[in-house]
Amino acid sequence: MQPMVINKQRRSILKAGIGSMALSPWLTACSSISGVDNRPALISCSRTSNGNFGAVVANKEGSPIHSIPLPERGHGVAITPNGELAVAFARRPGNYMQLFNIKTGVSYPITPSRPNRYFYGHGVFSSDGLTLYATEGEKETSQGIIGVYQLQGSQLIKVNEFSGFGIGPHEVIRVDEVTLAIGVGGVHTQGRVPMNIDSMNPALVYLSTETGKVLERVGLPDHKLSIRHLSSTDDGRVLCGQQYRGEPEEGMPLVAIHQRGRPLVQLNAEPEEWLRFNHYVASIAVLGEHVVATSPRGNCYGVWNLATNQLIEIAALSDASGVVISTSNNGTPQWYISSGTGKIVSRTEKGYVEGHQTNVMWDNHWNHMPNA
Amino acid sequence: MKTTYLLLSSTVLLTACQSTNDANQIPDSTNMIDHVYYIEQQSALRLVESSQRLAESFEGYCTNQTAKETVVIQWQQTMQSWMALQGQERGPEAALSLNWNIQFWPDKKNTTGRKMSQLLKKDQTWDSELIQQQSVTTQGLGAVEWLLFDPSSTLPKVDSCQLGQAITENLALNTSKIAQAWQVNPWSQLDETMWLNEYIALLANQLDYSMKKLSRPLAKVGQPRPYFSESWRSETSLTWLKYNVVAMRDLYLANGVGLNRYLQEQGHSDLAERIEDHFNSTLETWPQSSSLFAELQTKSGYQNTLALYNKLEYLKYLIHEEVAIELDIAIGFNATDGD
Repeated sequence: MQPMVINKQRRSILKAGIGSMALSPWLTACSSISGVDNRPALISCSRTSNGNFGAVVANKEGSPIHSIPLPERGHGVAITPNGELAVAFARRPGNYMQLFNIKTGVSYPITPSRPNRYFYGHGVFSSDGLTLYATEGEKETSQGIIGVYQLQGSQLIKVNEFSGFGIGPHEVIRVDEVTLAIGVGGVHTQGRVPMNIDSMNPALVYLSTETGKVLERVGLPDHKLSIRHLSSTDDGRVLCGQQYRGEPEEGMPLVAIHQRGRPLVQLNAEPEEWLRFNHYVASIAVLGEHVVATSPRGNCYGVWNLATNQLIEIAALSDASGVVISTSNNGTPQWYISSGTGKIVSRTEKGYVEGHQTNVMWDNHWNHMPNA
Repeated sequence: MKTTYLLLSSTVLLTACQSTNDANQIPDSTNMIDHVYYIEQQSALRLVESSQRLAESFEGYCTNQTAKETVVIQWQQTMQSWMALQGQERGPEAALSLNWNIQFWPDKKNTTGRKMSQLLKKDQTWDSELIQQQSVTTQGLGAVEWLLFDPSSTLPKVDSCQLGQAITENLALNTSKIAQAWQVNPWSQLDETMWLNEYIALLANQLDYSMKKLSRPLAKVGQPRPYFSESWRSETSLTWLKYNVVAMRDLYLANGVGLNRYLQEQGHSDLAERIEDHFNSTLETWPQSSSLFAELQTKSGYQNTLALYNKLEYLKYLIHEEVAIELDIAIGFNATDGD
């Protein structure tokens, strides 16, 4: 297979709009004390001010360090455990993966999708950083595939495919050294148009990376709850965020938690509270006993206490998108929540919230650098 | 209780006076952001004023037996004020977080009615703090409408009166928080690109919400669902929708320095003119009836409503397609997505 070379190696460029970004008061305040920390901390896909798409490597405050142009809109990002390389995945149905160096911003030739395959927007590296698992699908049927790629220098070489676990996989995460969890949405799409709403069969699937076999498969009571986005707790439980494909007036639970060997447990909220999320959860991140789930379509994020399975708060954030856990300048772990409007919110587990504005339109998901 | 309202008013007005621009003065700059912000700020102030009068009138009705009609008029004025902000998803988070507390809609399963009936059955002395802990379905303008218009309401019985006073008092508190949040310009740090995205999203979100107020009750052709209409109990849906459109036109023009002028400056005078003309013609040909609920009972009423929906859909086309493309704007980058 001849890689489709769109971009030669290139130095990262700070687009004019990003480069001229005004420093926020928050950043200025931090800078005056400790100087600007320009170490890469956050990575996300984005839209640029002139309507193009890219991946942005940013510092802890969300100030761009590198901007890597992408041929089409991106979605998720996978980072090698040593924090050296990252891969931006095309938004589904996607035709490319873009490998780049996080520290230098240098991007490598793209990895195109194979004939009769789409990328579905997410992937994850193995713990040794040598293997990449990407969600993919057959073009005609949306039959789910985990593409297995070996990282060889600056190239990703497809060496295997895992299949037979369902239609329309979206996010994949690594839950231990040899196990992947996959949000299998169950939706067969042509382009982005769903074709099988009445018969869709979503599931949370665990897959062995050694054999490619399904280890466990769990579903939700309503088959129109498409399981899409995942996160995990320190003790190995997996949380999944759903997109509801049913009637617009139904206030369906959109987040669930799973412990291996047990059924999925939906998080609690009143139907009218779930309606605030407008049937869609984009990103999830767990901090201590609390979880934040964002909803760009609902222009909000929710906070739950996992110990009591109780909704604590729904907070407004226009176009709320990515959420990750990172530490503040004083070492306190907290959620960092992004927005397609450029707003960044940090929130401690105790509910102390700060926000500031950047000039980056952040896409659905954020990744944070290991140990950032 | 009146003391409380005066305190709330003075808090908001005091803060307004302390800001660099007098809140009641139209900005003398020609900056788009200043004017759009001013319009939003004024809308929030009108909302808090009308909701405080609503709470006062409810108290007067229950304690001094003043006419129920006075409460109804104040509820209508509060609804009218709310239409300027309804459906917006841009602005200060502290204000946006209260949108659902001000109004819960659509209410497919009569959740408001069921939960209001449950509250009335409880042996409870209601106050605003207790109401804050209840479902949003019983906190807002829909709950007040239920008390004023639903046959199940037992107004002016003591329990309903007490509940209504607590709800309207809490509503006044929430609207004062909204007005307070709007005392600070949320867009002051944005560059031109990000501001245009925000401004157009502000308009587009409100237009989408307004269209939903028609599309949900219109449902499938020939099979309307009138109970999905906003304010079906008082049969005032189309009145409120008209105020939405008036508010969107005001935002679009923004005292003569808004999007309309910006489009002209960018060489899109024809598009600017088409949008303004369409706002005007839509308002000039507005249906006589205020009741969407009644309109949807007849074939001709259904057709008239569909025609109105089509007018809003054309506005959507102009904003979502032509404006967004000409100005290279992504309306709701992730918010219109599902991935």
